[in-house]
Amino acid sequence: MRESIERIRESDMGYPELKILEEYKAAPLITVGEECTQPQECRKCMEICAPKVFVLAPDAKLVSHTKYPLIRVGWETRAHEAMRIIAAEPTVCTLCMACVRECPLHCITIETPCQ
Amino acid sequence: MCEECLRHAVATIFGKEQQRWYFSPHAYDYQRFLDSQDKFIEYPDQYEILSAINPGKFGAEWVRKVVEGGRTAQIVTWEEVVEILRIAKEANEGENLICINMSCLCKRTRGGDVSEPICMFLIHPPKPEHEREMFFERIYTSGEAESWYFYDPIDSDKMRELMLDYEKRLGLVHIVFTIGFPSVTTVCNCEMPYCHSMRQRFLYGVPEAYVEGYYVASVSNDECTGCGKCQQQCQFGAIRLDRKLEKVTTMPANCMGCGICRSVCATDAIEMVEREKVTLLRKAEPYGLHHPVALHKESGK
Repeated sequence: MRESIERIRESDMGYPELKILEEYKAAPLITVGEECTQPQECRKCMEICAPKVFVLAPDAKLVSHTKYPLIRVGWETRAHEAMRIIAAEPTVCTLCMACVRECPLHCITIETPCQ
Repeated sequence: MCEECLRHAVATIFGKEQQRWYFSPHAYDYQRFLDSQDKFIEYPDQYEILSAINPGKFGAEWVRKVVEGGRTAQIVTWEEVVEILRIAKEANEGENLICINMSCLCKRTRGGDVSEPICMFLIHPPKPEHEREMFFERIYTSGEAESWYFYDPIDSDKMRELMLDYEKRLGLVHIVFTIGFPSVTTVCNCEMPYCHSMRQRFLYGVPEAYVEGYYVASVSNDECTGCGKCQQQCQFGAIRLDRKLEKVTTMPANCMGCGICRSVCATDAIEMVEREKVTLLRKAEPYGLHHPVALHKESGK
């Protein structure tokens, strides 16, 4: 899981022309483990986080273009099993550790670069 | 946006005729929006994930790319929302304009309360019969199938009342949001720190992503009782309660012109004045340099 998180961090997300922020590279590495199987029912880490670092995001495979982009985001991300929580903006994390404490499955880890 | 569209984009707000890009009937022509999609940035498949992750990763560079691609938001007052709904209805006479009241996508992705539907999508059913059937089926059934969404097709009169309710009860800011300028796709009610557009402006410093409204709040200190409700409601830190004087003071440069402070004031001490009247905030161009109209002037969208 950690490797996949690191891969996301290093990926250019399909935009090779954009430069990844230095702040992003230096931000804490926040990992939500594979044990998190029902993020959309739990959402505890997302709710407790004050600067809203976490994002509930659909899997790439289940979202696709349609003719009607306005409603696409509504009906095509319906698949529950495809949702997952990721730390989208670790750059605003204040290291309060509330998410680590709150997670009922104890699957969130935060590593700072100095570790 | 062409001059011709702008000339017709006029409505009466606070007893005065005003020209605004979102008062153009063309902004609510859904077919026009679909036809012009190829002009815009090709939106990646993962709309939500990218709108949430990429600003954190690429910062202002990504946000500017998205804004140039036609995705932007602007704050409007409730009075403007009323006019927007009227224009949208009139512009689509004979067609069904559906206002879909659903839970906020930003709050859903960021862990906010989604028990109440506060996002207003302006949607047209597609014209071909078979697609139309499928469209309605999806609209009416997805609310039951998916606990996150509340697809509640409502009429624009009900929508207007709801918007006022969200402003007074929840202190939410109204914005017109577009993923393909100048077509208005959503009238949102949003708040910090969930709103993606707000984050794009305040965390990454791109004002074009979340443009301030055309008004600023003006407080009459004769009528102000110093209750501090407006200060509690202001999301942008534009109001400060002076506890010694028991009056509120404002910082017009911070004021985004949403009018939430006015809606909670018990003594009607706050009124909205045109931003143009404040010399410091006056724009060099009629719509301002960072405004989407100025940004998309050359492209002729």
